[in-house]
Amino acid sequence: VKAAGKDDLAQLRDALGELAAADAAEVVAEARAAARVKARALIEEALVEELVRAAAAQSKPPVAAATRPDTTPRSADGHAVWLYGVVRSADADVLPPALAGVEPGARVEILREGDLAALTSPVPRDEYADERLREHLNDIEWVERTARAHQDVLETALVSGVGVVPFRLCTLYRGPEGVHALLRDEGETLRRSLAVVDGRAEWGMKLFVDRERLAEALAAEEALDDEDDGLREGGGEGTDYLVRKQQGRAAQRRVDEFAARCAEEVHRRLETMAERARITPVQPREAHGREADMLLNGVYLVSRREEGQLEQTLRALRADWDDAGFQFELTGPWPAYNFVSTSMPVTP
Amino acid sequence: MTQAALRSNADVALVDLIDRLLQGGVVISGDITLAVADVDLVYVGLRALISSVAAAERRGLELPA
Repeated sequence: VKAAGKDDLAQLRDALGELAAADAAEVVAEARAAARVKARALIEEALVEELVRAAAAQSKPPVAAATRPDTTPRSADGHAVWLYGVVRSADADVLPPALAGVEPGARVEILREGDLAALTSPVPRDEYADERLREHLNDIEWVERTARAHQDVLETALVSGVGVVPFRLCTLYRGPEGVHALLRDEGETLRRSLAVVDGRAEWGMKLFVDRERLAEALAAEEALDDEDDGLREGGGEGTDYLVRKQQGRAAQRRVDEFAARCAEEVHRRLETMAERARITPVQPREAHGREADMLLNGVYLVSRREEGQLEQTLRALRADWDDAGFQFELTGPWPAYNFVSTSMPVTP
Repeated sequence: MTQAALRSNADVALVDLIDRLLQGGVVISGDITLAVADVDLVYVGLRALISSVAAAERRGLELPA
């Protein structure tokens, strides 16, 4: 037993030292991660306290609310206010009563502030708190139901002939005071946006191409040209291969160029009848689900009186290009989601 | 509204709706608004849905008559 002498112990210590050194980095990293989690929890706790205090301060009903039945404070009863869009106060009376909101059973409420009015509805605040909201957003069925309900309210305004400034999905206030503050503080921007959307609607034009069909159409055209010219290629097998490869690349390029020109032309033709036009990012195949490539995803703000022209243009475009593998999809009328200012300064 | 454009909300492709409601519309700092990560979350779900529908359709087409 005595055989384990000083040297052995020293060796053992060295070995342990090496092991410790190897682990040290990992231990430090773990400790850092643990510290971060702890710090976050502490900050969260402090934040929660502050938020609760702020919410408690806000939920005291404002004096003005007593004289206005449509501004009943909701913040006290665990409800938040969902904001759909803003219309002119005078137009709000044109809307059908008791529109359904995003939450089952909830009705759209109109909050007025001077000449502006917000379309809102109450939602249970708990359902839209951070974690719960994230769970909902993970559930595509919930997203679809909610998005369609939001759209329904705005579309009702649109088809009622009411100019409406649409807001992004999940714009929520703790209580109606926040919405009133928005209408007051951003009144100028909102009025400008209303002037843009008045009497107009947004339309979408999507252009797709089946590149194989287009390649065939272009090749067929070229074959005709070649026959006219009496062109014939000669040469051995090796040069045939190279020629074919070269021709393949050239054909690919022609397809791409032709497709790009077509997209430009379609956009140009719609732009001429629109008050405003924008090109939004094309959707990838996994988003639109077609066996074709999207070439154009244009949006156009068109006067409601000129909408008939869109159909005519669509028919003309189809007559020209359907056979070459192009597909057109016209959607609308939409509330002018793509033609309102997408950012407004912070309102406290 | 033009005749051919008459359609119910239910016919509107979900992807077009999501694009507009999550990329367009007025953005303000309400008390709750969606963060970029939240929007990405929705698109992940949307793509999964569309690819599963497309796969089902493809399977449907491949079935012998």
